Amino acid sequence: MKSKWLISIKDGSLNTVSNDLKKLGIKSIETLESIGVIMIVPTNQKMADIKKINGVLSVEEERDINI
Amino acid sequence: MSKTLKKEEKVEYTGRYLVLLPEGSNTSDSINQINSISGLNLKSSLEFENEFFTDKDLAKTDGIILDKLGIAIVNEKPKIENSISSFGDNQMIVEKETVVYAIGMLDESTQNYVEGYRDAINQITNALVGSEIDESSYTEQESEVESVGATWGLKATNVVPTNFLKYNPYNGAGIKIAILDTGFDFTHPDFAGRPVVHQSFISGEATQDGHGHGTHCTGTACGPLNSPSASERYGIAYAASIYIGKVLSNGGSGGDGAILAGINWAIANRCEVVSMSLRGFLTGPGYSAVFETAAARALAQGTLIIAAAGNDSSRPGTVKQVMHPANCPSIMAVGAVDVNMNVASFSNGGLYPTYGAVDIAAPGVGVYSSTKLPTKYATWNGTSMATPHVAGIAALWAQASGLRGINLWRKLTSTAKVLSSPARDVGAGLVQAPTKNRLIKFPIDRFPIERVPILVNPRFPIDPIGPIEKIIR
Repeated sequence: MKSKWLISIKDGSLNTVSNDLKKLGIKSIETLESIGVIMIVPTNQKMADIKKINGVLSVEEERDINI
Repeated sequence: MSKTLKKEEKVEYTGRYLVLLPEGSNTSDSINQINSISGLNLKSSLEFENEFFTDKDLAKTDGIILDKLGIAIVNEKPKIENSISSFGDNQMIVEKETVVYAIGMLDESTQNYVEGYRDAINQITNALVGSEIDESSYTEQESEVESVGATWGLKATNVVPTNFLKYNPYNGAGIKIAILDTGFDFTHPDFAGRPVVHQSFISGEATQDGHGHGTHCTGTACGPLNSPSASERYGIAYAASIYIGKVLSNGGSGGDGAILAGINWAIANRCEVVSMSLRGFLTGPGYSAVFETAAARALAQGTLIIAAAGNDSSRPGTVKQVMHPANCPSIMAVGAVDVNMNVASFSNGGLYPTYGAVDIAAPGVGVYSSTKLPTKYATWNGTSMATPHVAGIAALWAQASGLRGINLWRKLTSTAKVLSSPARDVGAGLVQAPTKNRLIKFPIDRFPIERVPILVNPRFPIDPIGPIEKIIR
């Protein structure tokens, strides 16, 4: 299973960033409105391209978590 | 005789009377009673902003009842000059204002006079019965007695005070706690009939806890006041609303995307407290900007996220850093201490000065709580066990103070008990629950401390550290 990318978004930019992600060909987009985060499953995108999107604050790869 | 009477008449002419109302009567009842028997028209202090009133306010009325003290300051008007004497005939204690003159307040300003009298009464009241009294004291005393057999963690954090003069009336009622973990065992008998809102963020796994870790953490934060089968009380916010987010698999692992989804779910459900006994391993400096942004937004919306510092240390030789996501500045990181208030050997420390600090400490060694069936109960170690202590107590403070978000954070750290260990390891200190002073209804000198009954709950006879024995002289 491919790991997700976690993207924090500027206030008020969730929709525009989500649309821009779709334009990049990303199909799996999960929006967490309360915390202003979008999670994606990248296909062949580069993280640098995501960071260039207006309204993106930061992009991180999902980490493993344990008890 | 006549001279004495004349002197008294002179004093009565200038002043008022202080009427101690019958015990247990509320202001509304008392006003009706006094007005009925005396023909006076008294007001309640509640009718004044912040219950502050001046001499002029008093002069405009027949008298004012001090709501919190159960005392009326009464003017006797010549037209109904026998009204004061009627109080004494109705089991009320009446004092003349000369008592106040005796403590030297006669020449003070009107405001100082009223405030000084109030302070004096408060001081005497505090000395006799404690600083806070309310109608619920009696029933809450009973519930506390039922809880004497409790884990050392609940005693050390004042959830179950070991000081006989204190009790804890708070139970988390009205507060929502989200436990983001391995889920919850919905068949556990200690939670029978308790509503639980739940959501799984693990693909292919239901919220039912196949591990036991989530049920243990939930038990500490939200477990019951009484249990038919537990050896002692282990739950803190027993009346809080439970929200279970399964963000770790039954194997105890997962990705932090599920945790973000769980946090988002908790905020959307207006949970005041989120407890996360989990960690992602980390080496070197830095913290997650995504999690920090999320946590800051959570705080702004009134949700406090509390997370385990991690169990990667091997003290005294090796101290590892606070792990992800507890190392985010807007997430409260919890370290673990043992029953002797020593830092647990495994508990991580705040190695970086500007972030990644341990913010607070809680019991994390030998923690007894619920777990999945058939085991039902287990005693475990870890900052995972310390974290729900802080979460449960955060719920108590949220209930007690009405504070949320960053203000709730500050309340937790400002009320923590300072420990001798470095702040790097325990932060502000050992988390402490809000308490109240007991109402003692009898004169202290007629009930010496040696005769205070030892509180033993037959359901929970085991007292692991037994601090209650302090009252056995």
